[in-house]
Amino acid sequence: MVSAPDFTLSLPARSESVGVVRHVLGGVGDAWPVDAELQDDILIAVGEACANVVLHAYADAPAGVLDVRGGTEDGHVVVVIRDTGPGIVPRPQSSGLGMGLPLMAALTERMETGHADDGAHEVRLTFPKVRR
Amino acid sequence: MSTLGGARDGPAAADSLERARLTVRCGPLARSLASRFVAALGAETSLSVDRVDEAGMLAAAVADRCVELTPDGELDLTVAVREDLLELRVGPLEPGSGARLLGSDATLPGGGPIRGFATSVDIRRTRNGRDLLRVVVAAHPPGR
Repeated sequence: MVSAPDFTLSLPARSESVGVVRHVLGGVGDAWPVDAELQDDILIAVGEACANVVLHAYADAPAGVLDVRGGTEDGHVVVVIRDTGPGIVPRPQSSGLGMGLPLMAALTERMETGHADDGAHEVRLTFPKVRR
Repeated sequence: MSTLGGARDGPAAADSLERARLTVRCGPLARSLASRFVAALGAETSLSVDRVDEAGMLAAAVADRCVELTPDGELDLTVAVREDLLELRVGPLEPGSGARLLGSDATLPGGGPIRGFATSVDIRRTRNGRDLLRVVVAAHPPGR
């Protein structure tokens, strides 16, 4: 288990921040056990989760913060995307295609959503180990 | 639900919605993430590509010395994005390390002191006696 994340990113929850997160995560290959394919999967899945925060987390509330934490646990890359919005709720008027969650689930070994002890909404993405 | 690490309280770690913050453990990840973080934010400004690149190198230079500068083995970098500049705040740092970082041996990977690339630099003291390095990167450094 990781006792602390390798990094924490905290950004305003706006569309430009998704690109910042993706660009920053492009550098994790220097230290994490990832190959090019896994790196792409991480960028896509985390990008989707961040886009969800920007589009939906604060839809009915003042703009908030997008928080991304990353590390490794037992050889798995784990990235947690957090916000202080109400969490995932049905939004019939949403402009999204509804593909984000299935895509994230497909690219990860495990995807969990819920609320942390401090009340923040979390999406926790655990990626498969690189096949050697 | 367990949070990865959980060492920091809540997502509201950014100083405000005007700032972005990166905290990264010292080591191979720090240099890469710090420079990418600053470069990505620099793309939101009207700064030239060269100046954004120099801002990224500044961040990398600080990250390279992360272990000797930081009290807890983590680099804490906060960036305020304005239309025509980036303001980087690095710290808390060990007392006196801000001055050492700006010393003659603190050179960027491509050569040249940090002061040479920054538009302005100052070191502030936090309430608990740590250093806080503030670096502004605007369109031109002094003398250019």
